[in-house]
Amino acid sequence: MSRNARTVALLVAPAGALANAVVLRLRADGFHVIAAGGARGDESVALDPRDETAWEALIAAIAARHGRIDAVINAAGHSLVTPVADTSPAAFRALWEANVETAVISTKWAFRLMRDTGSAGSVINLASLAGVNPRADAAAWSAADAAVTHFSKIAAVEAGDLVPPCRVNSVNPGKVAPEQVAAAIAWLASPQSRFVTGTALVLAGEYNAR
Amino acid sequence: MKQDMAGKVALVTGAASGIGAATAMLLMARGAAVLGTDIRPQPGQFGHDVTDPQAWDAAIAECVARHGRLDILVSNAGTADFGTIIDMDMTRLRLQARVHVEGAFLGSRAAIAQMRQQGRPATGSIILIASIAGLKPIMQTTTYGTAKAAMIGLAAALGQEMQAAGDAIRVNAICPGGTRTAMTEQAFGGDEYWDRPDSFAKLPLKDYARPDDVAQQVAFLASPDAVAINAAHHIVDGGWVLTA
Repeated sequence: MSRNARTVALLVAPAGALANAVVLRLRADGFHVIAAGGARGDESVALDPRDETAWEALIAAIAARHGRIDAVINAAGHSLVTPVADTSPAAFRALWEANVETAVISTKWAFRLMRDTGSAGSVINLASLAGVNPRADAAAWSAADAAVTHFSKIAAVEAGDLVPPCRVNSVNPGKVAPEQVAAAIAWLASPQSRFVTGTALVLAGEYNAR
Repeated sequence: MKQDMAGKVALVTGAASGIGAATAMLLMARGAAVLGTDIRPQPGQFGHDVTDPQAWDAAIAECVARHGRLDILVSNAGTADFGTIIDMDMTRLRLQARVHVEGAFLGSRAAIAQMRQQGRPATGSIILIASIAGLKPIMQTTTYGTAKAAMIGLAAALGQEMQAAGDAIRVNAICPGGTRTAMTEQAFGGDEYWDRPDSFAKLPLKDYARPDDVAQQVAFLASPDAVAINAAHHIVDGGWVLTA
């Protein structure tokens, strides 16, 4: 297994403005970016983040090709703004699957990739401001992103037992520009934040005075 | 190193040692002009008792005289005090409140006034160095932890107040965990404390913080990368509060 001299990041996200901003920023910071799940990076791979067979193949390929992983960013979730009285179990389950299950599965395979390559990596789960502040008309979304935020803290404790210890944090943005979310992700992906783990980085932006 | 703070001016209190010294050095390395202050100043630093309102006026005036303006305040000056409440007295409690809470309050008030003089809506970044002792009762911190908790509340309140006033002055607190400095070595001891298997090996990251780890968090919060981050606290502790 050869070890890439460049830092390597894996972004799991659908195509879109946020994924574009994250890829642009991480590349500017010197990362080789592998984009999975729709986003475009230095390498772009198809991935259904709920499919563990696909994950197993993906991490084997990254380990063989790069021999390291410095950051895994899970940004596969989405929002749901519906009053409680109008929220169907099916909509709730779909959101839970997209936001919580993908975060759990992405983190699991990120840990395995970090363990297999001996990398002191950083896992970053994208949640939302709704996951830390109650938001009216978004009960399902708030609950799911609160789960992602809290899961990230539990995973951070477990990540300490990897060799070398790895880090897990969540990013919780409100209504802010994709570039600002990308900057927060880049900070947590960088070695400068090497002692930050188990935190929720809240980007409240203009909503903080509410 | 990237020069994303070129043209910015920072005032860092408690800059003679530890987290303050590392912060002053890092902000300079990233291009900022820095006035370091301390109650026991190093050469080139400004002598400054953060509990004295007039000393704050003098420190801000010195910063403006030397560097023309003020963009970043790092309220870092602090003093450790650990022990059980039975052994505490009002003198010790008041010293903690004066240095940490009143110091941060006076500094923020003076900095906001200066930033508003420079233009409205005013811009700037104020960073209060609190502690995870203000979040969780991790050791005997009835005085120190109580004062640090107040700093976390102060940052949130001031950040919201700036937002409501229409000013782009961001106020955040940082909560370092165990950080090895001259101050904490005096409180806890040397290698025999820091390298003890039951001290930091049980933390998720199995280590204590170096002053530069906290300085890096300061630089991030002061940088353009953090323009959406306000009225929050930021934990730099290797996961300690999760397991305490």
